[in-house]
Amino acid sequence: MTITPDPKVKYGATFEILREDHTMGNLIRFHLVKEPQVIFAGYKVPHPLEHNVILKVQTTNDTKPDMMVAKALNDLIMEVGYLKQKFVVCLLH
Amino acid sequence: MSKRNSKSQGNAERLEQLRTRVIIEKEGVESISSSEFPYHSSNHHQDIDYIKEFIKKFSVKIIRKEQYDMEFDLIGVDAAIANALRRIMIAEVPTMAIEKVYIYNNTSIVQDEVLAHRLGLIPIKADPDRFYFKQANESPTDMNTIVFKIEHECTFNPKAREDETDPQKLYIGHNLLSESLTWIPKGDQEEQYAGCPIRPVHNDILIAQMRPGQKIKIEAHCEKGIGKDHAKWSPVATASYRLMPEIILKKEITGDLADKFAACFTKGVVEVEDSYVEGQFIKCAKVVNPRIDMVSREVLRHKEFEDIVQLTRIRDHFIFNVESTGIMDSEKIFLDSVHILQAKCKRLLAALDHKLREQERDREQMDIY
Repeated sequence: MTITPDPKVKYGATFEILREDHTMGNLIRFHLVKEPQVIFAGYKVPHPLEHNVILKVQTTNDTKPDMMVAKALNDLIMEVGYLKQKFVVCLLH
Repeated sequence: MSKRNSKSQGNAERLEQLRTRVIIEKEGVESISSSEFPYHSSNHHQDIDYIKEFIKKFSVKIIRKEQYDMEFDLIGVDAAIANALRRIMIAEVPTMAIEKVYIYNNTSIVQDEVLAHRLGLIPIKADPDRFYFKQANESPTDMNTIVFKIEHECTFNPKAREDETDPQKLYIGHNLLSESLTWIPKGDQEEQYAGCPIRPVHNDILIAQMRPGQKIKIEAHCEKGIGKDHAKWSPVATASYRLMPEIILKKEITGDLADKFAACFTKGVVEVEDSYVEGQFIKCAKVVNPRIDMVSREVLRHKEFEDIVQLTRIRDHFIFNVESTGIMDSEKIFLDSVHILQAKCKRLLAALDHKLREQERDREQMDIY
């Protein structure tokens, strides 16, 4: 899983994530869109036979795209962890 | 003044409905994707902490739980997470299935490759967590392979009558069932699985039909894999979710219309009860259990109900239905999928970190020069 940021526009970056598909692509994009500092976030799977995701992020002046992606991923990990906890608690009842 | 207030109140309600519900009209579905991002609606703040909001809103409810079939609710999650979990349950939770079939003798009508294909699809009851993935160049060990053997022959039944036509009585062993898959423990496997021997989940899966004189002698190797690679490794019969339906009545429906109304929905959703209104008993329709509704929109086809009813779905209330093939319990599959999602995120984070650090190093090197 390699990520290659390519700055095409100031404060914008293109991430290419290998060996992922809509499962993660949509999830990361969704969380990025919820951040107030992200101006633009979109993902696409360029070809269904090649398992890659291209994620384009553009942020405001005060932060960098990689920070936003890192924040989104961190938030995701916390949310999913909390989901798991709650589910296990519910199971035990 | 009051008119404007009530109008803006109505507007606010409608906005709220657009934000939290998927509205189902006669001709189509509206307000599908969530519009919950910053700067979009006037009453939505920019700087709420989404994690805290999530923790407040989120809840899980388990409705029905049998060993291999589970129905539960996730309330307060986004569609993206629900979909990601569903996709992971179907395609990325690993299991064991027959991968390599060594055919020593096959004189039956079923071709070698068809036989091998059918063997691959048989669910094998082995805990995939205790095995490793086998790489292409690795040799099979007791930690990454399970060995099964079939040695089967079909013969005439000597006790059958002369003019018997029923194959059950004429032949012995004419149906090759999955119970003929005998597990050959290798290495440590004998002691490790002493309590629960490895076997196919069901004993009565028909693999091939044979006639007297035909023999099958096969050795099959099971390996660990994920559903993305081949559907035989998918642990669920299916995993699906739907949004919770909601039926809003803008006016009371009484009398015969109530019966007609109740008939438009799935049985049990709407009940007609007698209520005492203005001195008489009138039949009134009440929405009792919107959960089992199949949302067929039948009610919107009738002119009398078009303006009285609104069909919506609650956007963040997911009713999941996970049906396992019998290899693992349903809740284990869900927990595994959550775990895999976390692992993926952590891997992406690590890769991102790595890449950033590389960039820093390159930049420093360029500065030096």
